Amino acid sequence: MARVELREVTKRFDQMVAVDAVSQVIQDGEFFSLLGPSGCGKTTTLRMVAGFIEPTAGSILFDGRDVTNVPAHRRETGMVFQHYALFPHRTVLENVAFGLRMRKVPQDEIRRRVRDALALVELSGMEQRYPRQLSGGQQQRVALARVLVIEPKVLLLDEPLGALDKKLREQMQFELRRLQQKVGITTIYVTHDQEEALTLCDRIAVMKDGRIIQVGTPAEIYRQPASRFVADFIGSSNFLAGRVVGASGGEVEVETPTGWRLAASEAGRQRVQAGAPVFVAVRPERIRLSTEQPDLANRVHARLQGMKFIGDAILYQLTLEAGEQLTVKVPADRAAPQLEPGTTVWLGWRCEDSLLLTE
Amino acid sequence: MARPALTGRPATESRPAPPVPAGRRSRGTRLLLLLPGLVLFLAFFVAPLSVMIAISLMRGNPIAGDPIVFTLEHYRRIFGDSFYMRVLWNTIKLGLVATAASLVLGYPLAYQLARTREPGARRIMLVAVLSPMLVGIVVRIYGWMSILADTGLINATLMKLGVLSRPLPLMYNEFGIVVALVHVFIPFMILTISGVISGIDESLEEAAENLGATRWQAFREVTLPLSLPGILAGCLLVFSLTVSSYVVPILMGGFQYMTLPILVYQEIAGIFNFAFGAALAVLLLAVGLSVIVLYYRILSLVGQGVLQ
Repeated sequence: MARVELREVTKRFDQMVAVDAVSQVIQDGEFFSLLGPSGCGKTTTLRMVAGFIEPTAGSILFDGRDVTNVPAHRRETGMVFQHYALFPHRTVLENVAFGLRMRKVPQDEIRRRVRDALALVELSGMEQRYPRQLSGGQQQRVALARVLVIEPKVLLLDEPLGALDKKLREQMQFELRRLQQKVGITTIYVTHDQEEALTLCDRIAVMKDGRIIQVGTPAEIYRQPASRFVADFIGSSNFLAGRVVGASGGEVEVETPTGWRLAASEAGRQRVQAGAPVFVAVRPERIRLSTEQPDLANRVHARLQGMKFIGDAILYQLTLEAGEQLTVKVPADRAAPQLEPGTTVWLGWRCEDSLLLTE
Repeated sequence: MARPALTGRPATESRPAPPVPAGRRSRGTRLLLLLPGLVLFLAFFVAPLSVMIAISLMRGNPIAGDPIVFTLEHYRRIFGDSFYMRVLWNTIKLGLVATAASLVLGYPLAYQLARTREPGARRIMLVAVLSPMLVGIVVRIYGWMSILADTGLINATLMKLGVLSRPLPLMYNEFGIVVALVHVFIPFMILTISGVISGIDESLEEAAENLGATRWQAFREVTLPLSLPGILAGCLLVFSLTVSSYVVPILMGGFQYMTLPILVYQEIAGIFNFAFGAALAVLLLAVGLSVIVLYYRILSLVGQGVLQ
């Protein structure tokens, strides 16, 4: 187990900057996620930690020891690849034993440790199977056993659930979390799936264009996104543009171009100047929809465009006068009576549900 | 709606006939579909081979009034004479050496070709590998002659420099033939192996390194065994091409080095001994066939995990 530190790590491919001066400390035993859209540099960062590619600048430290120039095979990381990369010509047993064999561990110890690792991922009895004879979920668990058996300093997961179907993915999420907690290993988890990151990880670093733009616990990231990009990437959000017109007692008042006054809590954000252009972000599930004027700090008039039944909830699509699009999510059992598209309704939400964003 | 079969009337004509499942075509249709392939196979493989095998079992010349008799005497002559056995061994040895040399020289190139991602570099490598095939075989061999002959580039230079007092025997021997054979047939080895390697997921090697294998160990443990089908196929191709090659051994060996194809040609075109030539050709065919059998044997032995 180790504490991983990235110091100003940069990777350039020709002229393209894939990772731009990323500095981040990942604590011993932490389940840390790199989250971002494809091309944001998260996989490149992970591959630099594994030692497959060399940073153009900066350094990587494990427990304070600089490993930037340590080759991949001596770095003691355990990587689970997106498509598992199990050796197709080797049995499950041989796959899991591979790392121990490379370390010249005695035969009987290999046998014991492989057995324990397979028991840990609940694959005992599968030793003699070939990877192609296993289901996707089983292959995934062999890949995990194969890296956990060598007791690596850091577990690196590159979109490990990406190749599984939805049901299995959810099941494996719990499995992964259980294993990580049981082994207590420092884990870096790369994903573009915000839901996965929110459910699994202790902390999330949201990446964009090669930089980490926000780091925090899932709750912090979800409740207080630092920018419009994060608010939109983690869950979904409605954004209303406006200008600051005043502030009092931790509340900021924002006026939209069409004259609606919105209240937003400052929530420890940087101070905003009066007149500054800002966004007010509000989550779809935080908005109340009614036909009468609501008794809430924020209320706007909107025209219903359409609705979509998504099983446990109904999504209402609405527009304001200036053409801003809004989505409101109402649990199916609390759904408003049947509304005709074109109806004008009231939308309302509490002050603490609207978030002030400056970028 | 009542089913036509129950009403006793034929199926309604207005309905389009359901597509006939592959397994239920009538016998006639199936034979008709087989016909083109069958004709080709009969005309170009079965017929000539049968004729050759039949001739190899005959003696006599009806034109000269010598009646035709079926006999095994040609085969008895081949297996009873150490000269022919030596030629057979020479031919096989040439094939083995040229195949091994092509493999050793070709594998690194094939690997590089498969793992080069940059399209420009890839194209240049591919053209370089294929370029020998764009030049006629005779022209290429004259090229080798001007390099390897007693008065050729190498010997002339070394003698001028005083390193040698008499030329090295680089031609008109096994060495010269192998050099030219490798040059001619190595593209088959490279392309076959490279095709298999490019199908091996690169992250397998990374996974091996991640688990503590050095570059070399990762190659030996993962890529090499997984490329075995390509190695076997490449060897099969190069071996069968070299044992049956005629031009290279004759020009580079200068008739000093006898192989089965040269002997077959001499018997048939030189002294019109069709029957004996056919028997030698059958022997050559047997060599090729036994290598193919060996190929499948090895493949099924190692194939367990290698073949998907």
